[in-house]
Parts: sequence; structure tokens; C-alpha cells
Amino acid sequence: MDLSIILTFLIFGLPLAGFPFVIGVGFVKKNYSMYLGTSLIFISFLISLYVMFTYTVKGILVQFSFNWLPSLPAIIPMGVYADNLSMIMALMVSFVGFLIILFSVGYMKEDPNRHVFFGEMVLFTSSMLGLILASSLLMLFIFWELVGLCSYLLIGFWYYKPNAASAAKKAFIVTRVGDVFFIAGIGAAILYSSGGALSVAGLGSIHLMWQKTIVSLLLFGGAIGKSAQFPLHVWIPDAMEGPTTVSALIHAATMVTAGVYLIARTYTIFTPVSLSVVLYIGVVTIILSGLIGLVVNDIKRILAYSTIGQIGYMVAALGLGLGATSIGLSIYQLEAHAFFKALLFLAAGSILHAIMNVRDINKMGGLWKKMPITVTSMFVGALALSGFPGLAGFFSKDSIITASYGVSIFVWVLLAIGGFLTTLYAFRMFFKVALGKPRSNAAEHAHESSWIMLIPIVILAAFSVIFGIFQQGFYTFLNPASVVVSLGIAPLKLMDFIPVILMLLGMGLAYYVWGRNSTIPKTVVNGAQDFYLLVKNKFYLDVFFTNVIAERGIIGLSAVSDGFERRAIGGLVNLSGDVFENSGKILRKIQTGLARQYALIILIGLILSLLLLRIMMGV
Amino acid sequence: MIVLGDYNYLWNVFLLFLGAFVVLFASIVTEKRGVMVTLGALFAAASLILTVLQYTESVEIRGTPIFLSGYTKLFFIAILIPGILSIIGMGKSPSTKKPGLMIFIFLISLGFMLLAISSFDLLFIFVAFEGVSIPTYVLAAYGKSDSELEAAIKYFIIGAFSTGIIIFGISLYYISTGSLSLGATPGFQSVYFLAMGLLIFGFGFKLAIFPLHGWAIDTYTGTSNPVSSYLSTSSKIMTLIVLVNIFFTSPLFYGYLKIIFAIIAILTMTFGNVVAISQNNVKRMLAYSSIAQAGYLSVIFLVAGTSAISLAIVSLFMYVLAYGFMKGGSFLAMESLGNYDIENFSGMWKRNPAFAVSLSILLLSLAGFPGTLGFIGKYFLFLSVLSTGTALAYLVVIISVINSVVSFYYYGRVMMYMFWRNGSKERVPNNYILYASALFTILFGVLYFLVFSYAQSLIPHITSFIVGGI
Repeated sequence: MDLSIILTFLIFGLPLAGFPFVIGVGFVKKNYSMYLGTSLIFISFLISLYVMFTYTVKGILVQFSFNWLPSLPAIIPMGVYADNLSMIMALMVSFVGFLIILFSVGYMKEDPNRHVFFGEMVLFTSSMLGLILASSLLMLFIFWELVGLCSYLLIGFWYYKPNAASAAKKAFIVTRVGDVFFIAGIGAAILYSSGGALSVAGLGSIHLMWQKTIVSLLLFGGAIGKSAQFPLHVWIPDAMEGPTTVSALIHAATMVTAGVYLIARTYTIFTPVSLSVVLYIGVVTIILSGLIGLVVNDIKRILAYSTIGQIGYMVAALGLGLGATSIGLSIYQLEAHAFFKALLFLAAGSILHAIMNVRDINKMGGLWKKMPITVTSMFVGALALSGFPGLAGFFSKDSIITASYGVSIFVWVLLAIGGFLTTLYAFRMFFKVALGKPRSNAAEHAHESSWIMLIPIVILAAFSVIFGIFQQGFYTFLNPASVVVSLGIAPLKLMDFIPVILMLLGMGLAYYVWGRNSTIPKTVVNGAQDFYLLVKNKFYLDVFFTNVIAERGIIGLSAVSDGFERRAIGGLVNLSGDVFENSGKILRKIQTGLARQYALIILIGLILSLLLLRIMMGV
Repeated sequence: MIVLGDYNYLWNVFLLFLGAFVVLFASIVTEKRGVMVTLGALFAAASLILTVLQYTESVEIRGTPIFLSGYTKLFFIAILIPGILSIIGMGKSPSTKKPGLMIFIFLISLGFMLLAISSFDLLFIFVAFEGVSIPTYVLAAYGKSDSELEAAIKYFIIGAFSTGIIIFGISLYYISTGSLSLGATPGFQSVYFLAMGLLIFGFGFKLAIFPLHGWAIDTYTGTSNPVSSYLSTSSKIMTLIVLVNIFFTSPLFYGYLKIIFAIIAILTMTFGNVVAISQNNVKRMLAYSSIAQAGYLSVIFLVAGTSAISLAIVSLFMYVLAYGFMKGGSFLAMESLGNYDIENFSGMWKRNPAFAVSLSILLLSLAGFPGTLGFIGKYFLFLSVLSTGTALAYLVVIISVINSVVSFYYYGRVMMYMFWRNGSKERVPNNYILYASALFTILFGVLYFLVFSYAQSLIPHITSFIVGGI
């Protein structure tokens, strides 16, 4: 086997094999598992760097598959597939994952179960890397499920908190709905291509348009669940009950980006019909999450809704249907988002660490003076998120908005409004946190966090600022054929300034409304009571899922199948058990222990079979 | 090395015989168990290594009815591994007084096993087969307790009875074909089928298939653990391969005899499983489960004369390899306990976690739990049978799978006692053979494609199959 293949396997194999040791070494000394876990991900990052610059940059596609079950007629490939797209994702996941895990060393240093935490974080990152480098849909699905499992474990890491336990369950069940679509998509892919389309390289072996549409829509169903798009986004806000570093990992590097990656990976089978579904799901998600983000008070939930919205931009970019350009736009947004969202979450984590996990932004305030480095970084993050010219978010998001102009003016308007909403909620959060007077006891006694937590934050802030300069190179690296739509390079039109103007307007408005003492929020709430309640209750989606689908539909259905299970199937199982047990009691009587009877039985058997032979031959 | 011409290919067999006499003479000087066991295991291991490294081409040894090929090589390995495990297991067995003599007998019978499966002459097979039987009669009797003596006597009586049947079968075979060579074309078909029926029953007694199982349960339960392990693994695998040699080469096999084998397989596995359910003695349960396993193994005869033979032989190798580890390991595990009652296994998880986990792995593998070599072997074996596509094959495989499910009950019961029942607190000594067997069962179960491709790499030498003559 070639060195490149082994190295590519090691990128995810090393942490995957190492995670039991991370937990195991924790039984000796808890801190060792922190160091081991961090270094495992760091080594993964180094290997990705090496593979990237030794092979991928030179245009070498690392590809290896073996047949998982050689005896089956259908070929089920397992292996690695590392092209430009996979490698740039792997590099980002391992790098951001490493920074987050480094931050966790400070953040979790007093938790009694931290060895388990670090083990699960390592497993989480490694399964995401495995998902990215998988060479077939089935292998991708296996890691996809591992990612789901880890998110369940980590969201419910503080399982003694009832909120965390139920949030973990919710995340697991909601993403499971998507997974059903995914596995149905794999089934359809096998059906339509007799297994050929299972491998990433062989996706093109589905030819008919309607078959492509079915498979791609089913796969997109899986992506909706994982990437928290409307209507399956409901698990993400609740998932904020876990440790903040977990949220950072889920939102920035792993989990939610998996769905976007899946679409980008299987982009060849998306037809115009399924692409328009993708586009509008993305757009609806952006608007809804932007509105909800404006009324939520929990700092982490605001960030959660902003994630949903930003992923919406990635999905919408893919849905634009511009071929390789779409993938470039979307993945560039994904990477930029990873940096500034990890930054925002880690900054929020740092703040929460300082003020005893009070998450209500109404109880914060005046933290800029008390925690200058953290809050300044958060300011950078908020600027990047809302797309301030020159920062990462500007290049990534505004390019998407600009590109959408050529597809549909309606979509362009909605995306621009989405950008406006993003600015509003981002700076609502920031001003409430940073300015004014401390509005609670905890906020008054806040102090800056330790250096091990600040280093990742500062590195991420730096990346959020400078990442924009890579834009052009990024697109060409992903696909030389992609059309340049980046701002500042292509000739600017007047339209392109509108998102920027909207963004600046939003910033000013946010300051005017939330940055100082003002009665405007109250007035607006009272003026538009019905609409406020609709948004505050998250458009009643949770209520709909819980009260209508779960309680009316599923509980009734489960009662029926439970009854069937107990009576019919259970009865059958018990009956067959009794039959076997009783016949065992009877048959063991043959075993008399007398050798002469054994010989007799043999003789009877012999004669019977010879007779049988004779009868069958009919001679 | 002495130059023996073609006989050079048989050095793995000679090493076993040589080792037997070295041990015998060494036992005059010292009677230390450790020395004897080490010597015996070393010679057996040397023979195994030689087998692996040896020839890769097919050889017929001139002047003898012995034909060596990749096929015989595979099953030499499958027989030698549990043989070595049993010899090492003797190191702890308390019931053996004169280990030197016992190891001598072990090695002699092991050597004859290799000869029996590599021959294509019925008379030679018969002699080699007796060369296995007579030492094992002695092995079974080797002990002082009445139960061991009783077990050995039963084994001997039924053995003598079957020998008569074999001889009768061979003579009828000669009458019908005019030759003692396997694969000869019969002149009188009715006599030929009579002969084949007799041969199934004569050889089948060591395989312990259904109507011939009676002695096996008493003998496996009654004798010391290394001997039970040896009789239920190496000896059984050898018998199976002899039967495969006889019937796969038979030109008239296809048809009626398959029905007989299907009936026997179904009855054997169902009987073994059903009665194992109601056993409270774990060693006796293992004896019954070994009957059930013989039923699964007999499924192989359904592929005779079809294009699935190559896959079937590879699968059979994987299954008997797994069978050697799991059955040998679990019988030898009994050595750590004085009393085989299921109650005595309760609380094992607290008493010795490694023991509990390893034994569970072997039991799961016996039941055919995915992730173990037992599952892989069973899976490929059934798959190869299914690929013949006949209704009979489907029927037998479906019943086998149902039986596998049933078997989870009694294997799971032992695990339930080990993990969830509280019992005596007495510590159980470590049993490294058990741990090694469990490790290999898991290791090969996960990396099964290595085993598979190794076995497949020897397939080119299976083409002309077993017998040089045809």
C-alpha cells in the first residue's frame, strides 16, 4: 500500500484507535487524558497538513477502496477518497477541532469526568474526519452515525441536569429522522445503480433524471437533519445544554457541517428540481432563524440560531445550482463560518466560565472592561458573522448574495434581508453583553480567563480577520473551473453594495435599540404582540412536533404496535421457547448412558437411511 | 536433513512421530509435567510452522496413496492448532499421572490425523483412521476416576462397532467399483450406494452426527478437559475432512446421498441444540453444543459436485479454524473450575473479569455472533451452500439459522450467570489458553479477510482438489 493511503487512513484512524486510550489513561491520572487527547488531534492535523501539501496540492488524488464483503454479489467499497474538497475539509476540521480541544483543557479542568469528555471529543473529531475521507456512501453513513452518537453523548455530558438529558435525546431523535432519509437514499442508490453509485467516485452511474432526483432528495433529507435546516432545526437550540466547547465543536467543525459536506460530495446527482428544493429550504431557514435569533435571550441559543442561519447560506449557495462555483461558495462559507463561529462560542464559553454559567444576556453587560481580550475577540467574531467589509464573513456571505442575483432576484432579496437580520441579532447580543452596566452580581465580579483559553480565541480571531485573503485561491483550489464571483476582484456593481449598506444600517440600528438604555424594544413588542409571540414560540414548530406528531400520532401508533408486540409476537416467542424447552426435556431421555442402546440407535438409523436410499433409487 | 525423496514433503508428520518418541524417552529420565508438555507442544508447533512454510504446489508422493496440496495444507493447520491447544492444556490438568506417555499418545494420533486426510486410498484411510482411534481410546481412559473409565469404555465399544461398519462399507465399495481409490466409477450402483451409506455411518461416528452421537456426550463429559477438547476439535475436524474427501470425489454423489446428509444435518443440529437447552452442567452443555456444531459442519456436503466447491472449502476452513479455537478454548476453560454446574459460574465477572469476558467471547462465537470468527465461518459456509441455489440448500440453511438463534439461549444463559448472578466469591485462576483463544477469535473475526485471502491464495492448488488420481 502506498504511503499516501496509509497516511490518509491515519488522519482519522489514529484518533479513532486512540480514543479508548484517552479514556483509559484517565483512570491513572485524569489530566493525562487531556494531554493525550489534545496531542492526538494535533497529530491528525499535522498529518492532514502533510498529505495536503505533499499530494493534494500537486493534484494527486489519494484513493483506495477494498471490498468489504467479498462474498456478496454487490460491491461494497470501504476506503479513503481524498480529493481537494475532502482534504480542505479535513484540514479545517482537525485544525478547529484542535483549537477547541485546547480550549477545553482550560474550560473543563475541574470536571470530575473530564477523561470521558476528552475521549468522546476525540472520537467525535475522528468520526467527522472519517466521514470526510470516506470513499463510499455506506462508510460515510457509518461515520455519520458515529458523529450522531458522539453528539448525543456530549450534549448529555452533564446527564444529571434534566435539561441536558432531554436535549441529548431530542438531538438524537430529530437527527434520526434525517438518517432514515439518508439510509433510504443509500438503498435507492444501490437499487438504481446495482451498487456502483455507493462509491464516491462512481456516483455518476445513476443515469436517469428521476432516479437522480429521488436519490438526491433522500440524501438531502439526511443533510437537513444533521445540518439543522428547516424543519428539523429544532434540536440545535436545546443542544446548548452541553458544555460550551461541545457546542463549539458541533457548530463549527463537526456535525452540522456534515450535511453540507454530504451535498457537496454528492453534488453530481443533484438535479434542477432537487436543487430548487435545496435552495428554498436554505432561504426559509435563514429568514426563520434570523427572526427567532432576535427574541431569544440565552447567549448560546442566539449563537445556535445564527449557526442555523449561516448553514442556511451554505445550503442556499449549493441550491443556486452553479456547479463547481456553488460548491466553492458553500465550502468557503463553511470554513469562514467555522472560524468565526468557533471564535464566538469559545468567547461565550470564556464569558460563561467567568460569570458562573449565567446564560441570560439580560444579566450580563459591561463586560468589555472586565474581560477585554475575550470581548474584543467576540467583537471581531460578531463583525465577521455579520459580514463587515474586510472580514471573513464579508467575503464568504456577500459572495453568495451576489451570486444569487444572477439566479433569482427574489432569492437575492431574501438573502439580503437575512444578512440584515444576522447583523441585528449579532450586535444585539454583543451590545447587551459588552456595553452598559453589569446587570447581575455575577457579571460584576467577572475576570479574564486563563491563557490556555485565550490562545485559541486569539488565533481564531486572527483567522476570522485574515481568512478573506484566501478567497480567490480557495475557489481555484477547490475547482479550477469555478467562475469568479468574489467581491473586490470581479467588477463591482451597484447591487453589490446593498448588503454592505444593510449591514451597516443594522449595526447602527442595533446600537440605537440595544446599545443604550431605550424603551424601543418594549414598544415594538407591545405594538406587534401577535407576531412577537409567534416568533418567541419559534413558530410553534416544537409544539407541533411534540403535541401533534409525537403525542397524537406516534404515541398512539406505538401503543398499537406495543400491544401487537406483546400479545402476538411475544406470545409466539414464548410458545416457541416452551416448545424447545419441553422437547429438550423429552429428547434427553434418549441419552440413557447405556452403550448397547447407543449401538441400537445407530443400527436403526443406519437401516432407515439405507432403506431411504433404496426407496429413492426406486430400483 | 536426511534425504528421503518424495517423503521430504511429509516432514511435518515425521516431526510429530519423532516428537512422540523423544517425549517417550525423555519420560524415562524425568516425569516433570512441565518438561513433557513443553516438549510435546514444541514439536507440534514446529510441525505447524513447517506446514505453513512448506510446499505450495500439489505433490503426489510416489509409492504411496498420499496426495498433498494447498487443500491438505489448510486443514493440517486447522487440525494442528487445536491439537497444540489441547497439549498445552495438559500442563494444568490434574487428573493425568504420567504425562510423558499421554503426550506420546497425543502426538502419535495427531500424526495419523494428518495422514488420514491426505490419502486417497480407502484402506490407507482406514488404517490411519484406526491409528487415530486406538490412541484416543487410551487417552479417554487415561485417568483413575470411574467416570473416565466408563466414558472410555463406551467410546471404545461404539468405536469398535463403527470399525465393523467401515470395513463392511469398504468391502462393498470394492465390490462395486473394483478399486479402493477414492472417486472410482462404480459398476453396480445399488451396491455403491449401500457402501456409501455404510461409510457415512462408519466414519460419522467420530463426527458425532445424529444417530451416532450417544457416546460423544458421555465421553466429552466424562474425560479430562484436554481430551474432551481434543476429541471434539482435532478428531472431529479430521473425520469431517475424511468424509469430505470420500464424498466430494464420488462421481455419483449428486442426488440421493445429499438428501441423507441434509436429514442428518438437520436432525443433528436440532437435537444438539434442543437438548443443550435443558442442561445445567456447563461441560455437558458444551458436549451437546458440539453435536449441534457437527450439524452445521455437515451442511458442507450439500455443495458437493457444484461450482461452489472452492468457496465452500475456503469457508469450511474458516469455520473449522474458528471451531478449533472456540470449542477447544471453552473446553479447556473448564480446567479453571472444579465443578461444572452452571451455578458455579455465577458472579464470574467479579471473580475474574478476564475469564468471564473471554469465555463470553467464545460462547458468542459458538452461537455465531457478528464480529467473531464463528460468525464469519458460519456466514461464509451457509453462503456457499446457498449459492448452489437448490431448494434443499435453502431449507437446510434456514433451519440452521433458526437453530443458531435457539442456541443463543443456552450460551446466553451461561453469560447471564457469569455477569448478572451473584454467587461464590472464590477467585478463579487465570487461564491463558482461554484468553489466547478468545483473542484469536476476535482478531481473526475482525481481520477475517486476511484469513480469507490466505485460504483463497491456496485455491489454485485445490483445483484438482484432493485426489491426485482424478
